[in-house]
Amino acid sequence: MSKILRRWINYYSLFPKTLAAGPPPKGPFEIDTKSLRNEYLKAQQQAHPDVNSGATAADSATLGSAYRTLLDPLLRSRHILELQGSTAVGEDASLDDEELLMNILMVREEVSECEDPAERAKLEQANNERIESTIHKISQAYSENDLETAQKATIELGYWIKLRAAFHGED
Amino acid sequence: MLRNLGFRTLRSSPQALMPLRATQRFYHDKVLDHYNNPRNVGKLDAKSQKVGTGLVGAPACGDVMRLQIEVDDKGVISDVKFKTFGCGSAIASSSYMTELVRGMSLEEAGKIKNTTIAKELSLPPVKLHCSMLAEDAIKSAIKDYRSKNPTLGPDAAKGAGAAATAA
Repeated sequence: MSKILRRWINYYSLFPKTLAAGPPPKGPFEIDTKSLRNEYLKAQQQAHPDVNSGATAADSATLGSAYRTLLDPLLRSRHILELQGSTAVGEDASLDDEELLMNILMVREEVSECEDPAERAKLEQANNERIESTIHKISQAYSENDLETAQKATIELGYWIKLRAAFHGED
Repeated sequence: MLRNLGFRTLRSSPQALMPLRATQRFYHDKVLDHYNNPRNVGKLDAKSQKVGTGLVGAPACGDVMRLQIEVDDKGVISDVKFKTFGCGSAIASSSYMTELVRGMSLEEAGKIKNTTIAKELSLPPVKLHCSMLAEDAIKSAIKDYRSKNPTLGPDAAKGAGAAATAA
């Protein structure tokens, strides 16, 4: 239930000061995270049951989810795509973009076969750069209202973020 | 007092605001067995006429799975290899799938449902998509093999027989 419901909450609307323009394509993909944090803390104070007896725990939890989602470029982009009605980033979606999958598999095999610490550090650095450039690609695509490219790059970003975790044995 | 505490906690530890790291899951013994001792890991020659390759991914969790089958002239899967980057359930699902399809005809292998795998490995509902990925992978490998060997038709065994007669 909460999963279905979540799709209908526009997290941008919970932070009207920082995110006045709303989600892309109207507003920018980039977010002023400092301002978001301030607005979040204030909103959280007001939602706190000790301050506002009318507030419910759900308000506080929703704010928390909204903040975490908007802070993280991958989660933020998935949220934007969900607001646009996309199902390609959902839990049951499957990917058959052969070119992307081949590339991911190749990179992952290279990393898993590499044992030299210096070489691994280089591969990790390359992956961090890949993450940065993919986020840039997503941002660019939203600014051009190119949802298809934004979606493709968001899927790709998910894989590189996953690889970043694998460098630290969290796969 | 409570209010102060709540506020301080929020301010002082940004980590507390981050999504939880992969939560501890208790995997079923069969999953652990395949995870610690995966069967048929490796690679077949993707360029070979006899080999079909399936490459699939689950974008939500960032898993990627390659499953390859080698088919003999009787249309039977004689060898099978996989490589999966993903969670324990995804690795176990593909490992079990390779054990399952070896010796099967393409038709039989194409009929395997993810529920068979999920049941064998006792996968919890949140991990059902891992078994789904394994089903997608074998279907995709069969499709690739058939596109390389179009004359074999939908029933590879019969097709191979006919080809042998023709030759």
